[in-house]
Amino acid sequence: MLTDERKARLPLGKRAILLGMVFALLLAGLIIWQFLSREREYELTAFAMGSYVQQTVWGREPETAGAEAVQGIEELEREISWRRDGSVALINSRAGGEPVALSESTAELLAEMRELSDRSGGALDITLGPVTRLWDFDNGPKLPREDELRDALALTGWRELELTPDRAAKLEREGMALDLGAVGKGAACDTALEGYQIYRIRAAVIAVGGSVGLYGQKPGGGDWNVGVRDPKGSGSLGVLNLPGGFVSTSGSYEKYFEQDGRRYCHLLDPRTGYPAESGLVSVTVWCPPGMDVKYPGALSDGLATACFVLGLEDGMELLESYGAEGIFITEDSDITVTKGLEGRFTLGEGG
Amino acid sequence: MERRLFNPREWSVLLIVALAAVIWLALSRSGPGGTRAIVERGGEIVLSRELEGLKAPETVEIEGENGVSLRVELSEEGARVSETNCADRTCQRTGLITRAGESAVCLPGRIVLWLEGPKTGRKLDAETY
Repeated sequence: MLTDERKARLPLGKRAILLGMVFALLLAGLIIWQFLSREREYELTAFAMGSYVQQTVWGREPETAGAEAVQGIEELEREISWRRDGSVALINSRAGGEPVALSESTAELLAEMRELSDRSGGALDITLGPVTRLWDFDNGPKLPREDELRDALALTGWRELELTPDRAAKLEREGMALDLGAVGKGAACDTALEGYQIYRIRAAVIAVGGSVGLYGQKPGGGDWNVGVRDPKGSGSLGVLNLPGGFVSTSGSYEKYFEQDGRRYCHLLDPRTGYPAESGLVSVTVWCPPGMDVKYPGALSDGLATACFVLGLEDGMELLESYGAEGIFITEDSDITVTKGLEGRFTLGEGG
Repeated sequence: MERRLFNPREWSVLLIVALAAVIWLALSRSGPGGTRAIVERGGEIVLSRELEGLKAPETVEIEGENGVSLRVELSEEGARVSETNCADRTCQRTGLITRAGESAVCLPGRIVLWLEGPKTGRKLDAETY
């Protein structure tokens, strides 16, 4: 029996070759499998929501997730821009008339931003449409006449945005108009991060204009590095090291015009109708991960505007009430950082 | 009789292996280089220039959309939009950008100037403004 088995075996040399081939095949299979299943880094830029959109996505299908994020932002823009033909435009055109039925996400966004309008005492007012149209900072900015500004201001007031439990919305008086421009870029970051979750992306960073969304654990470890634009100089003033969440900035340097030797910035005080004069030149807000809101990105964006209008002390109080953090820079270049950002913000090189 | 460590056929195999190792090492150590200034127009890269080693500042004219044109200045220190015919001028006001990840954006002209750096080391993941 033993003799037969020996006879059935291949010669030693051929067995070695066969064994080598099996190992080589296994190795090749392993390499191919690793190549196909590896996570990749993908960078994508686009123009959407009137802004430059930059994404870096890490995962197995980063191209799809990135493209879907841009599409989601375009759909959001259609839904919430007063210039387009979505729900917000419809609410405006029906102001003083019939309510407009909303999707769950739009209803929640409006509810959270109306609450912010309320908690900020109107320093952010999402019904500022009649006033922002007069100033027209996006196309041909000009100083409005006093009487027309007074009339427009009389048509604002977030308390007159009615949101019903069956997800419908209406503005009480004809001529009123929603303008979500102060929260749109942050909301776009929310939309993108929702998509990353669906596509099981491992990590991603998105910037829509100056609003930033940070998703997942940064590949390679450590915190994400977010540069904060220097309001009075060139490039970045410093760097925020953050584990995740959303960051937005409102600054008077970003968009302004000059008329009769005076500078008018785009950040309007809803209480006066004129550009805010709070002694600040820039406010950066961080909404950390885990906040109990559906739209933390939009909240960071809206809080930055509200804090800019409110000024240093009231702004810090508002941030504290939400559990958000911030950096306030005054006209005298004084920098105030809230407690939660101490040790996370480095002036200069940072990183 | 002379004793040799390897026969001629083995030597040639060893030589090929050594050569391959040297090429692999050279490629893996060449790295991503220094900071590059990138200009995008409508999502397409129209300029990519290594900043390290620029002996004197260079200026490049870029034509964007909607009749917007701008002048980009590149130097070892960084890059800036030094001039534009756009009423907005946001990109020009951004000033000199020096760190990988920073950008100057001209929305009306759909032009973006940004700095790209090594994949490792200090760089910004994003910028808030």
